[in-house]
Amino acid sequence: MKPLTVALVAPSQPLAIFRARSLTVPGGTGYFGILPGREPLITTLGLGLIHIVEEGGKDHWFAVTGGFFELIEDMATVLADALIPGETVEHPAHLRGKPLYIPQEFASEVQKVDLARAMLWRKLHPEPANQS
Amino acid sequence: MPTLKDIRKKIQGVRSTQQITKAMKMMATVKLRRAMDAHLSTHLYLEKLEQMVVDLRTILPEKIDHPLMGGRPVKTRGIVLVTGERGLCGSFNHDLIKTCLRLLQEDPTIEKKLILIGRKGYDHFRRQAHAIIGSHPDLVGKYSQKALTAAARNAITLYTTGLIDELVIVYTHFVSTLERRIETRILLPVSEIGTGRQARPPTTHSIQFDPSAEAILTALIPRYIEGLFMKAVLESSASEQAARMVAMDAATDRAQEMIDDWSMKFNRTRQAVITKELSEVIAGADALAD
Repeated sequence: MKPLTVALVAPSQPLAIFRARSLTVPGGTGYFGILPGREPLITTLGLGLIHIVEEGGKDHWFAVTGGFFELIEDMATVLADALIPGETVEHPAHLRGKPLYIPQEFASEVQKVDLARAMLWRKLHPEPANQS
Repeated sequence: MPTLKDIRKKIQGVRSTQQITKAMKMMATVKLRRAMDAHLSTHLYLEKLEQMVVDLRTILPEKIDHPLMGGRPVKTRGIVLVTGERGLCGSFNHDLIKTCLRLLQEDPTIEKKLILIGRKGYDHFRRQAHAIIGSHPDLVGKYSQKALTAAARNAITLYTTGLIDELVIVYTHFVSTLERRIETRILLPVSEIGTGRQARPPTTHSIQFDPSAEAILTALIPRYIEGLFMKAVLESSASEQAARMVAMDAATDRAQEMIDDWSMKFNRTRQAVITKELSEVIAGADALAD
């Protein structure tokens, strides 16, 4: 099956393009998965993580604070308010060891970016299970 | 007439100035590349947003009722002035301030309030009698996406809360390294988005919207304004660095010309001193021979 072309666009950040076999995005009303051949879709994005599985099987993770998503004829475009790539993410020091919950509608852009960074970092560096 | 020591000192002074201008040119080149990259990705983001708005407008036939569209009688105008973070860039800041002053003098029935982005504009207007309702002196030099978004949202809030009835932005449009143009653009109220842009041809399947086409369009419009605001700041930043690069390049060349001129003077003076000494020695020898 023809793979998805995924373009990640955010202001003042470099464009990222992938050939993907699947994609998961945080929609405004919840996460949804996209496979090639899906019907066209335009939606808002909420704060959360984007998971891209490349053609060769390699995983890519990004965090977004919000934005828009468009899928038309296997061309997926993420228009992110702020995009944080998994490769360079660092955990915000002030959120270490704290529960990650701030109601999105009340969070400022700075809080949202910190929250997204912390969510992504914790996804990529899960704490080892308690041995006792 | 200057002595050899004076000329040597002069050459050394100009040479150290030339080293500074050369270093500043190199720094401006690096900063220009960074600003250009940020500007290009913001431009791409805006293009995509614009296309989405145009596509949605064709799906939604009726006129959209949005708080940022339509407009109201203008009693207060907010002017966003985007200047540079520092000088040594030719007439870059001076031209922007001049354009802003002209806007401030236009139509005295409308009250004007300033939002100053960039240190030079802030330094110029802070001691004057104009109303300043926002200032971000470090935004151009140390821009980050978080800070840009926050500044853009503050400006939009001023409009939605009724503190201003119109928002105008004065910035420098980046054409090329050697060319720039001052632009004055009405950001709010939004008149038309994507004029001249064609809607995408309809797909074979119907498009699914989540939550709805109206809700998406309503959310898109403020993002579009934020994008325009960011683009203006990033373009101004790129233009400032380009202007500084050109100014420092010219200064480096001028310093080299001065060094060449003074070197020539130094050689001539040295030659004159040697000739004078030689003629004195010969004259002395002749006197002894007689």
